[in-house]
Amino acid sequence: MSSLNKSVPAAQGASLAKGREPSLWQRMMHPQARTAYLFLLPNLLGFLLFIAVPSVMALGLGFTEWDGYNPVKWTGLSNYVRLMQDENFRIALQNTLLYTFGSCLLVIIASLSLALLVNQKMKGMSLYRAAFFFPHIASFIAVAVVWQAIFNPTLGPLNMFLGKFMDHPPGWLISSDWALFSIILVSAWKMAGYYMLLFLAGLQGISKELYEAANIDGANILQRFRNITLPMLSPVTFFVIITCIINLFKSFDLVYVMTGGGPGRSTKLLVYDIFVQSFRNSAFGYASAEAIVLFLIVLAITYVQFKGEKRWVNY
Amino acid sequence: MKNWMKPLIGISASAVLLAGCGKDTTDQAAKGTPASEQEVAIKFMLWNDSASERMYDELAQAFEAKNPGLTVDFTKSDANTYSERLTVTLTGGGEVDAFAFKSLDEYYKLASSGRALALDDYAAANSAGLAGVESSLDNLKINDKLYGLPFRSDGWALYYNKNLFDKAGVAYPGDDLTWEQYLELAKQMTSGSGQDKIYGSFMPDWAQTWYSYGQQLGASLYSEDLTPYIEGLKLRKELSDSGAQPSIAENKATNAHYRTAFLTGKYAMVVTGTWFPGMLEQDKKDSKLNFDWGMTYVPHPPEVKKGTTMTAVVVHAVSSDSKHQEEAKKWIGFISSEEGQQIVAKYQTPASAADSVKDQYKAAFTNDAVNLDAIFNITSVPERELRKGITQMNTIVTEEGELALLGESTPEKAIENIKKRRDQEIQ
Amino acid sequence: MGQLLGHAVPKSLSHLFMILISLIMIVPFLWMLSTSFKLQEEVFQYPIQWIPQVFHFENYVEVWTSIPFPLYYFNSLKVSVLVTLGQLITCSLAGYAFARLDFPGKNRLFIMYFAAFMIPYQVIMIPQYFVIKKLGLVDSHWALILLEIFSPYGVFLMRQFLSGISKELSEAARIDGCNEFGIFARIILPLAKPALATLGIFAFSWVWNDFQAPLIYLTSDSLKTLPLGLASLNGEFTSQTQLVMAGTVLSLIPVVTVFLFFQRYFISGITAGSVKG
Repeated sequence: MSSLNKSVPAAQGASLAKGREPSLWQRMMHPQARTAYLFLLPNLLGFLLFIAVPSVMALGLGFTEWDGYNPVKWTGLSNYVRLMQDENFRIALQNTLLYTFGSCLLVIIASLSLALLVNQKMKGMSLYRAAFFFPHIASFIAVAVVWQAIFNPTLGPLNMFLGKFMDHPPGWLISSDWALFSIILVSAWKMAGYYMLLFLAGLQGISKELYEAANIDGANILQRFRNITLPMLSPVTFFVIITCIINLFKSFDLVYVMTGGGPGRSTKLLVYDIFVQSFRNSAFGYASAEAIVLFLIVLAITYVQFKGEKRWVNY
Repeated sequence: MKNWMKPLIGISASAVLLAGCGKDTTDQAAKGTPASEQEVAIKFMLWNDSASERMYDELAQAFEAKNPGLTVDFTKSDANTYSERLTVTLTGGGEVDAFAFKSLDEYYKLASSGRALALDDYAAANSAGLAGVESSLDNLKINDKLYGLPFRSDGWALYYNKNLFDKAGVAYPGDDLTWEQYLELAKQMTSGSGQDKIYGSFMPDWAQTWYSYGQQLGASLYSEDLTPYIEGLKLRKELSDSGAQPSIAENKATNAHYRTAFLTGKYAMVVTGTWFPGMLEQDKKDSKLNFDWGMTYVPHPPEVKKGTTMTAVVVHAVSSDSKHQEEAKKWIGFISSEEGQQIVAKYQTPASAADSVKDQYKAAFTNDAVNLDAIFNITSVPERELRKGITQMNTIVTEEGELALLGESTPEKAIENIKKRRDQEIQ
Repeated sequence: MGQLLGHAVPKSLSHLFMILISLIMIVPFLWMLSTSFKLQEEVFQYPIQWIPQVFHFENYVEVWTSIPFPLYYFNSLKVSVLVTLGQLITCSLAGYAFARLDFPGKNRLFIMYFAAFMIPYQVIMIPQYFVIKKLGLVDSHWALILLEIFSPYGVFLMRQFLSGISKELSEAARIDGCNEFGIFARIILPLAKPALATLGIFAFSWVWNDFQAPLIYLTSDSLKTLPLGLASLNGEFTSQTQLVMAGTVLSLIPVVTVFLFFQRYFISGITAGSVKG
């Protein structure tokens, strides 16, 4: 988290008592710090109470056995030993990784292309933007019904179309081989519009002069894209990749309403399995242990991204 | 802008203060305080579907008339997500005195962890009132303790469209069909294509539709030998593979439901639970039903006699955290009593087999199609076994059975996997 | 792409292209709309009939009368607007502190926010219920509002955007005698409109469609929000897809409106609001 590593600038320390390192209290009471705490306060209080405390409680359960009612039983690491041998967990983890990286790749390509398209002055642009953004605002339940009809293997419009080119179009949602891919498609379709907005906000921050200068130098479209757009956009791209991956790891709704994890276990994602373990099987401790593993994986991936940030992100 | 900041900061700050002083977890421990003479409102949680809403309203009216000072306060919740809602409410200490269990899975899971109150003493003290449902009480015991009172009991039956059979010149299904004969009949009744397609059969996608075979034979999904289930899965697979019944794939893509499917008049037979006649009666009132239907016993394996069917009861229970336990017991006890069951019988299949209840049930129907024998004169086998791992087993049979029905696995392989996964996942 | 492409592509061609992509994105919406006017037996007829033979407006009447739509609209609107405002305010304040101010513990606090963002909702559902119950807020709109306002994602988003705005602007304002809040409210926020719009749209559409939290916390009929109403339609009209779709179409109108409202902040030609990490 590179930009954070300079929390208290040297100048600030120098302005305090000469020669002595300021105490923590002194630093916290520094005018700028006091202002900062005031700014943080409204969010921080709510955050601690409604998110941080419940999270700590939930993660703590990962080292216990709890059925939701009887006293919590401390079991140390035994949940994790069981997880190592749990086939459901292994399958869910595998599916989640595939799903996350597949969707993320699609989402980023699609949303960046869409953002480039809608970042121009054109009549009716607000309608186009609304159309591209539409999938994001539709409710999951409605989306699920529609896509089930579209994916209908024998009579759906998709396979009617594909049937003209191949003898055996895929079974989509009802085939173990294709179900996960279908879910990836739908999630990319649903998320692209939102990330398009983020890219768009970023694109609008790129100064026109840069492009004009490049035009004078005779750069072509590709050169302008590679040498101006991509580098100038890299902070947004970084943000998009990080949040997209985290959001995808947490995916639940789409699988819950579209496949229920099936056929077989082919679309069982980690959070869905966590849900089944806690709400269907009342194994709250075990489910929390799964959540901790999920958390650690996401943490590791995010950490690596922050480490690599300097190499390609321009500030 | 500073003005609007203040209330927000105020709210956040007071929220923290409230949380800080809210450590009085002991107040919930004061359970079962004796009934005072004051008014008591019993908080009762249920899932809403149109049929049971009217039923509960009538039950509450009758109950309140009989018990001055007691009222029933309903907390209704969406049917599809009722289980989650119930789990969160009971786990988070939400205030509810009594509730309905939507499935026996839920009943086992929540009752065995102590969230429902043991009712043995109540049942013993009120055995006269509960005589009608007594036979099902034993099957509801978990480790020899009773945690729920049954109010509905449903078996399985076969429903058919008389007009389609008349048109095809085929005799109506008899009351002693084996599953194999059912398959043949379904194939015989299947005809046409496209918009004119008539299917011989519609069964829900549920795993029960194939594991019924083993249950009817008296087998157990938890036993060493699961071979009795292979035949059931094979026949169920053959049913959709032959085109006599829409495949799981088609059902999913068209959001199909046995009720709406049957009403289209394009399905000759439907196999589903005995709550179905009530639905059809309602549809008749709404003039959505425009053909004659009949019903008979559910098909069975050749080894067992006709009328052998899986049954499942639906139960009410009292929350262990309730502050009005005695009143709550009185309320759910009333629903399971003969008087309450007569009201239930107007809307659903009652759990009581008392004659007055059966008469009431029959009287609720405006036609003769409903077959009381197929509902009450049956040999019951359990649809779900109340034992550890009941929820996991449900997931396993659904997932593995589905793979076989979709043709990605064979029935033999599916049953083998069920056994393997069962031994691994249920500990 | 305006600056990127220059004038390489004629307008009519790009319109055609845009319309094509729009169609792909809204195909499901078209299906929803066309289904909402159909009879039940027409819904799953294949090949799909995009334009119904007869428009059955009575579907809308039936849906509108079977659940109290105006009440659900009002409840959903109330919760969504309050959450959106709350997020815009608290997240931009906190994001500002993280992005542009120095204070001890900044790193640790930020990592904490970030860690919370990684935990799936399904895991903290029950502990959150404990907290809400302790506060006596079960079965009130406050439960939904308070659980959604303090979004770590919103803080992260605002931090990223706000740290991209040039530091010299703040310095200049400081020299002019502005206090920190003045700088935030008068100089930085106006530059961050695209970010605020993004967050606003995200928050609103999320809360508007949220099903889980209302399901768990609301019991009184008078408090229910639209997604619960739609779910009860689903239960009441088992597989009567056309009615459920009519209800869904009705529920989408406010979100589309909100989007069109916020999205004008994207065209106002802001140049300073780029994102930095």
